[in-house]
Amino acid sequence: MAGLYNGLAVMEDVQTRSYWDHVTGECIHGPLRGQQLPRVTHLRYFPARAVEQRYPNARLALSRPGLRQRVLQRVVLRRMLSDEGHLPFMFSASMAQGDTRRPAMELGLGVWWPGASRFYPMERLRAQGGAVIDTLGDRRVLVFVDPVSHSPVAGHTQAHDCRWQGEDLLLDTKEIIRDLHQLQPDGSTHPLELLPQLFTRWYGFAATFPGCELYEP
Amino acid sequence: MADEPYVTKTGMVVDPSRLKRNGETLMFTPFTVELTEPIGSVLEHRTIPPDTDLLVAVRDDDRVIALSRQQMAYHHVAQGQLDGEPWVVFF
Repeated sequence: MAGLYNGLAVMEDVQTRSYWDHVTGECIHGPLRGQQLPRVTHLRYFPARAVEQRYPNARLALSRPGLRQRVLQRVVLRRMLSDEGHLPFMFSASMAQGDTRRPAMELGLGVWWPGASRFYPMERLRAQGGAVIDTLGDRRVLVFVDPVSHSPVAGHTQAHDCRWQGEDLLLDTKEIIRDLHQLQPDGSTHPLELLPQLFTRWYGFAATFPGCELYEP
Repeated sequence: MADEPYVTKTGMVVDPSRLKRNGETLMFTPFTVELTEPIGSVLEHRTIPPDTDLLVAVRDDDRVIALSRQQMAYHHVAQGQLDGEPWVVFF
């Protein structure tokens, strides 16, 4: 991790000294500028117990923290990861003038699709009961707060309406969303088709997708 | 290396003169993963509390890597190999 730009860390590959945008996988500087990483998948957030339930074959990797890492975790990183957030000076000093439509550190789900990008603030998702159906480009999308991970998720849907029943999300197509899977009325099930998305802070998404739309209920 | 600004496919203007770096020193120390443990075993032996926030990268049902969110806020990058295939996770 070699640099910062717009308050975001920038990856460098040491073979070509090219810089890569971690959100989109596009090379933004260096000899490979304009090229695209072949496969980018986005991280999911879960408590460890839920990982065991959902992905029993998952393997955990833990680093062995040295003194510097332990001190930083205690002093800075916990604040950075809190809902309110905290941006150390080294990050904020790399930012240009930000998009002031929302508070810079607000958490939300950024979703994009060819020709469209939209930010769903957590506050607005929760105000809508934790699940909304929306249209993004040519796609109908279901955006909801996953009851297990408490983080937002966006998936493709054909539904026009939804409501919660416990931890199940019932769609007006008679389908049920459970554990990030879609249960069909005939009893079959398949993984929810996820759109490109990132659970992030407003400043980062707005910097990566300038002029992005904001979800309005 | 081109020094003129570059506009990404998402419309972000990248001005190389604004890229902050610390000379040739990496700003963050990557986590090179050499050892992983099954999540079930980790929880059974209480290596981490069950409510620990994890980041999960899913390649397919049999190739799922979990990382500590707090540790990744320090490293930002984890990299390793699984079944001979290189992977990198960014946070």
